[in-house]
Amino acid sequence: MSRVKLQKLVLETFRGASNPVTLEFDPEKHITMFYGENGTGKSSIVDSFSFLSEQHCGSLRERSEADEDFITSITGTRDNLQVTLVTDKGKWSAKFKPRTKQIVVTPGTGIPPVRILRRKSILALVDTPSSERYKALQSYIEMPGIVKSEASLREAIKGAEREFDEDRRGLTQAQEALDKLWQQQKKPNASAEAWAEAEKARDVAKMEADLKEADGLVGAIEDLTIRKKDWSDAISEHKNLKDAQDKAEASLKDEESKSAGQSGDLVTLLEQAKTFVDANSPVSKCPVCEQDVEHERFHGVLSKRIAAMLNIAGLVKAVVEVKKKADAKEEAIASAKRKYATKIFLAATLVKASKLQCISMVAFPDGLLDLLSNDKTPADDLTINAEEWELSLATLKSNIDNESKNWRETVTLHGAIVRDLETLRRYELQTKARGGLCEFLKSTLKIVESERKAFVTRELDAISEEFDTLFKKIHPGEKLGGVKLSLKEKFQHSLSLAGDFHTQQGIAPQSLFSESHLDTLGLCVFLALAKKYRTEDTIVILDDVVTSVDHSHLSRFIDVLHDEAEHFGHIIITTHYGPWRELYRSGRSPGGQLHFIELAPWTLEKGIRHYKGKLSIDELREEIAKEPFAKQNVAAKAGILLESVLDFVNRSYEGRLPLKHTPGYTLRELTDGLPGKFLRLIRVVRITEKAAGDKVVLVPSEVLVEPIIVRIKGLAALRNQVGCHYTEIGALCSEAEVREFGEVALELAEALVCPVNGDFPTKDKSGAYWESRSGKVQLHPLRQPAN
Amino acid sequence: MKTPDQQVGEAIVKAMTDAGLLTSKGEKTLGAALTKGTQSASDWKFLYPELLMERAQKQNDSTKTP
Repeated sequence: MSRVKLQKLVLETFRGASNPVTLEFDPEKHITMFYGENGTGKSSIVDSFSFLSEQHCGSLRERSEADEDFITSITGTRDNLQVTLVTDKGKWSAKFKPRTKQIVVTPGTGIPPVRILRRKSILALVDTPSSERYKALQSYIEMPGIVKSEASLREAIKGAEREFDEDRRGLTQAQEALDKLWQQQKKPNASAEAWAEAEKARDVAKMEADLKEADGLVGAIEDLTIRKKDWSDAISEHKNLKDAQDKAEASLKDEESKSAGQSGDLVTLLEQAKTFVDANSPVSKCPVCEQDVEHERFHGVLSKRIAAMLNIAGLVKAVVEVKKKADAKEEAIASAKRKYATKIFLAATLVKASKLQCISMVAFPDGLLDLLSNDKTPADDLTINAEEWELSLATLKSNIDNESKNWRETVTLHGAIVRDLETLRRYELQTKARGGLCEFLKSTLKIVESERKAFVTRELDAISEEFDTLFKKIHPGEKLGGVKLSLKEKFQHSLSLAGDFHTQQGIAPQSLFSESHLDTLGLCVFLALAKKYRTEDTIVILDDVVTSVDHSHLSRFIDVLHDEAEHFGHIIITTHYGPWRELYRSGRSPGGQLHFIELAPWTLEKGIRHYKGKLSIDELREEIAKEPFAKQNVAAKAGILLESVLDFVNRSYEGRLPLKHTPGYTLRELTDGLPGKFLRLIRVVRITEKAAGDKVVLVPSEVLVEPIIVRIKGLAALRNQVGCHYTEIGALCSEAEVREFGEVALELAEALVCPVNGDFPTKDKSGAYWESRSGKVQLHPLRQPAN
Repeated sequence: MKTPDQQVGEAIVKAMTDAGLLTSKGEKTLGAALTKGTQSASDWKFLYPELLMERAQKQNDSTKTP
């Protein structure tokens, strides 16, 4: 596919476009220059491309505290704002989605990408801290997915190392624990681990079983002792209660003997009668003798009699309570006895079944074990016979305790050894596995990091090589260059910029480069980036980027720009820098390749105004053809054109011009700059293409410069007399003389200006003559002869 | 045109494979995860046991008699 051809840009209610404005591009030219003083609408045009292609408010977004609402023209409303771009590949319109700040482009795809360089951005590329420079270039080299994944990899390493450290600590602790046991055992075997392995292999199952049996026996004997005590305690408590009961009954008898007619039985009977009366109220007959009674009186009598025997009633109650407790304790004795008997049986059964050596060392009364371990033996017999057994049991327990103490120590030590050894082995395994994981992750990180850096370095090297090449084209023969972008060591988001300056190498350009050199460096960096990441439709916009570049550097920058133009869809230049415009207008730069649009001062009523910019040669040609003939205009324009052309010729041959305090030379000085002898050698060869049958042949034609210069010399006075000042002499000059002056100026300019690109022959690559960019115009010779 | 993420993701997968640090399964999935930035810390860790298992499997296969 061929690269895009811009046709039209329409701004409606967009920034400075207070009236709709249509900017038509020359579809055959891929560079457009918008020239205008400040406040003519250049930024509006550039921002419209941001609005369309990047969907943001362009320079308004980059200015601090700028109100983006002013993207809408102050005379219009947001709903009416629209930017439209028409190209040979399609038409796109951008506007705000109603009642939102969202920019919508229709159609949503295919719009040519735009790369905009503003003066402010040049500083961000060159004269800025490394981190800011990285931000300026971030969009070209950023890889958010990789960076995020790398961060998670670092997190994984951190976690794995933490776990690895924990395992190592665990391993050390296990080793120390095992070592401690080994030392406690007086360091048998060659090492703690060898000892532990040997110990682990030792069979302690029999010992564990014996210990378990011994513990069971000891437990049974202890249970038996406890149950026996429970039983004894119950008997003792019952005896105490019986004593208390006897005492209470004695007190009651004593009281009864002191009170005639009163007794415990009587007070109990009266209380029962009163309870009956209360329960069957009202009572009309005595429940015993069935005589008629009056309830209230009957109840009163009962209460009175009970009250009279209050003391005895208390003693009766005490007797009843203590008797109740004694009866309950009797039941507890029986229960404790049963439990004790059960434990006797259990212990006897265990002792009888046990194979422990210590059992055989204790002598039991004959037949006693058989009796006690017999489940048919009555509980009374068990408890009675157990009395005989107690002494033997105490001896047995003591023997078991002594013997099991050694077993316990051995089994406990074995358990500790096995546990510590297993812990040690587990940590060894874990440490090995986690160590392997850490190594794996670190090796992976090395790869991820190195590939990321290698990519960025490759990209930066490629960009650096490109912009250094461009920079050297602008600054040939100057001992500076070798400028290179590189990632700063140890910083992920930091880009350093270093170059050579005479004897100094690898210095930051900001240290020694002039402001103008930094400007051109920034431009070259931008162009290199735009070129590397271009598509065939990429629109490059240079927004007022040149303000202080001198003539020769500007010329070379323009050459670079035209050389690079073929890589992009279109280059748009906006500038208020007069010398840039004049280089094109005067033919010193290839104005023929450029579409030149001039912008008039902006007004609220009319908005952005533009008109077609003209080259000086075209202006003079039009002026000569005009009716009526304007002598002053023709003389002025011819003079200006000639000054530019003769300046070029003198520079090409190092003409001898006087040193002056004031800038510029007169026509006379410029025509005298080259010696007549040499002038006669200067000739222009113009090559035109002509059809010859099926072929196109190149036909050279030659123009001698000297005769034209001679004619110019004869008419040079008209430059000032007619073109600049009011003089009577000027008024005396004829129209024919002025016309001839204009025509001879045109003749010289037309001889030298290339018909293809509109530039002068400034290239010396042939080594024998100067030639224009297209090679269609040659200026011979290349140099003045030495003599 | 591949994005920087895609280019570097592919280069990482290749370098890890060449270094024997990636399983055949990892070769297929890691690139996309790196490009999208979805490769988590756990995902990185899991690559290692998978690699060990694949190595063991390969060793096992190679010792089998045909």
